[in-house]
Amino acid sequence: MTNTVAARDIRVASGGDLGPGQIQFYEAIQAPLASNQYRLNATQTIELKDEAPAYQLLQPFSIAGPRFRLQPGNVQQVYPPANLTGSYEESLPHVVLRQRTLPWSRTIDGSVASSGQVTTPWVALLTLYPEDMTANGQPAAVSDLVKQTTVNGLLTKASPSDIPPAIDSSTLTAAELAEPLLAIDLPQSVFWAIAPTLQDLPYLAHARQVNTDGKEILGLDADGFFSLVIGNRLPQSGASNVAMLVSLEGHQDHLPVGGQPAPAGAAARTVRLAVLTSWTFTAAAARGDFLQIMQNLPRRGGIGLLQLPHQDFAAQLTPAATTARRSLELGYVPLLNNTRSGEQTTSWYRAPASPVPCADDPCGPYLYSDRAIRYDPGPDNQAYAGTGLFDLSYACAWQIGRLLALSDAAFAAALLEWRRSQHAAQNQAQATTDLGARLPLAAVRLTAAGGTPVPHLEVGKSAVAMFLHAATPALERSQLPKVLPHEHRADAALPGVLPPADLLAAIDVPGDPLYNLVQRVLALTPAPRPPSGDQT
Amino acid sequence: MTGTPTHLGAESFRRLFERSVSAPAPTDIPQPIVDWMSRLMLLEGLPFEYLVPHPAMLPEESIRFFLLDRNWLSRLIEGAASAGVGSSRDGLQLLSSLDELARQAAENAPALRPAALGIAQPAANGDPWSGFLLRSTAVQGWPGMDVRAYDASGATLPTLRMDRLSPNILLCIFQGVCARVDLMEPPETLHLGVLNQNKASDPDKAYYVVLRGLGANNLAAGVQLPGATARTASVELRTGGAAGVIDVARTAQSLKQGLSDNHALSPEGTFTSAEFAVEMVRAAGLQSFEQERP
Repeated sequence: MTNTVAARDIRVASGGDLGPGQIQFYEAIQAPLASNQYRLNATQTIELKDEAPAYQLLQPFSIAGPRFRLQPGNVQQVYPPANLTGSYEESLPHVVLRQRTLPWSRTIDGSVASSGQVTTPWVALLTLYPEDMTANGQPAAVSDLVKQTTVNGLLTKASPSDIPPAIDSSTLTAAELAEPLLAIDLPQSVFWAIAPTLQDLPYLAHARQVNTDGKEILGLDADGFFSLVIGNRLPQSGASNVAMLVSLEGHQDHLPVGGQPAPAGAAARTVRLAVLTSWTFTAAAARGDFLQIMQNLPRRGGIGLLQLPHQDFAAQLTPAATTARRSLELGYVPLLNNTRSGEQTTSWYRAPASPVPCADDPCGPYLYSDRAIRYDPGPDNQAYAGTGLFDLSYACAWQIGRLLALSDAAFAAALLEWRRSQHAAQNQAQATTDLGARLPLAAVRLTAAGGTPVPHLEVGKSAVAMFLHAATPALERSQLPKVLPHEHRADAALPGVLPPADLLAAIDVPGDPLYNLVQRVLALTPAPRPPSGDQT
Repeated sequence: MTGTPTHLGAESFRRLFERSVSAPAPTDIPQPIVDWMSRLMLLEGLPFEYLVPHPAMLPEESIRFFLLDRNWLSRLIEGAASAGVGSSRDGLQLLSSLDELARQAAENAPALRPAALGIAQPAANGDPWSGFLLRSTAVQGWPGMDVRAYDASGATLPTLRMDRLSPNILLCIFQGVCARVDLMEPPETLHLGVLNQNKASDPDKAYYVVLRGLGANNLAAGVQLPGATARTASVELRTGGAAGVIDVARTAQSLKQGLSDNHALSPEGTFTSAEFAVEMVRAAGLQSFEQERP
């Protein structure tokens, strides 16, 4: 038994088209112009003979983009799934954004990025443990902490302990300032502990191009580009975690600095963040890693066949030990069983799951489970000691099959119905056979009833001989059933008495009267035509 | 099951039956009965003790392969079909139709799972059935586990049944003799994550990731770096503050150093968020188990 090396590969595309299930990673997808206010400055100089006047145009424009809140359509997917419990302890939360440039569409400090430069993402995914969420020193739900406010409320420093984002509100219009948004006030000590540093941020966002042909990847339903923002904190095991995508625009100077403790008095100050999206999930208690569990399998329970483990046999096997070892290798298990007479004995049992291929049992099928019991009568020669034990495997199979059938009322009813329909079909076939046997017999009886030969018998002789021949097997099979179920009687086809008119007609019609009578009885010919003048 | 098993006993019973009552051929077995018998042949409803008669045969954290004993399944069907036999005529009818019943049930069994899943039905063949029992905490932890079985020639085997018998015991039955099974973590979650070096119960966590190639130096992108043991790099946590916060910048340095030590970094030494993501993705783990038949 071997187990092959585990693989943790992922299907990364390396240039060219994406194959099915492949994925391509991008450091960043930079919009040609970040969301900001711009001025288009056009200058045209016309060179005339003695002067060169310059005409200038100053065209202000702005590139809008998500800033303080996201539309529901911006978020493609969140991981771990919202409101779910699962083994997320060793996973980093992420949010998949439909707009491929979103994490880089603004600059964190409002500066204008030079062309070709990868800017620092302006969003970050924070993971909050229950102990991080407090209001007035008491544990609080996330819904109590995230408050609805406006852009103006976000940017305004309400009290000295507030740390709002450093965005100049004079650059925003009154309409923009009045836009609603969600914001959270995090203690600066918490923010310092869990927020990424300015150096961390570039690693925490990337873009992906996926091909979802024929395979589900990421649960995305379309080919294309997506951007991802990754959390920087592992979820707390066995607790309800809150993942929160926040805007860090204007907070570039408030971010923690690697290796430095939080500034003095941080616990008393609060950092105000615009919450773009947030969700809650529960990380179940740790259970280890899938591959580790799988790779430990050979060492622990092992890989093998379904056999009863046993201690090593001696090197020199007695015939009895040979038999015992062989039986165990074949998958048999010695089990105690109570016999019908009340004794307790040991018998062999083998499950349907056998470690070896099996030949067909030529002795089936059985109507009773006891017939499937096998007995090993014991020693027959020196090499094979025999066991002198019963093998109850197939008897058990028979018995549990019947018990399972009986325990399912619907199935038992269907089975009985099927059996009944089979019997009905047989009865029908039997009745047809009987009828065939009875008809010639009736005809024969008709001839014998009179005792004396009917005149003009010559013509009818052959017909009677034919009927007798057909009736012989029926006669040999002794008698017809004395009592037949009503529906199986063919009386309708065999009237005992012919109407007198028919009788007369049969006699009057030219030819053998007996033959005519038989023909009438069997309804082989239609009622005779009325006598015409054309008589012979 | 192979071909059409015809038992000597059954054949003689059938002839006897036909001679005595000229029975119609028992081919028109109602579909619900055939379906029920097919499920029975896949051991549905069978008490676990009948499958694993002794607990030592399936210890914790183990995988056990088996072949299905068709005689056992025939007896199972006989027992089930014999429910309510009240006369010798019933018995005769039963015995004359058992072979046909077993044949139809065996042929119908591979169609049950595709029909339930709405996938294409595999071509029915007479291959023997085999399977495995897996008892592991992984069964409990990864309910969406993906199982694929292959025969000795590497061909994929159709799955006839895949069920959790208990929270941690998985039963799989395949059409054909399985030589190798691949157990894969549910692949739908390609997310970033880390691996814990210590036991799950250990309060001290030491995280690492398994390094993957980046397409440089002929090391295929996304594929684990070759080597007898997995090439890993440690994941650094922020110290002194809140628990579980990854020091991303230092982790990136550690990954970059690990890649550089294994000559997997491009000559320019590029290491951006894209490379970071490739290294940190927790791909679906795939574990193969092979068995050597005696």
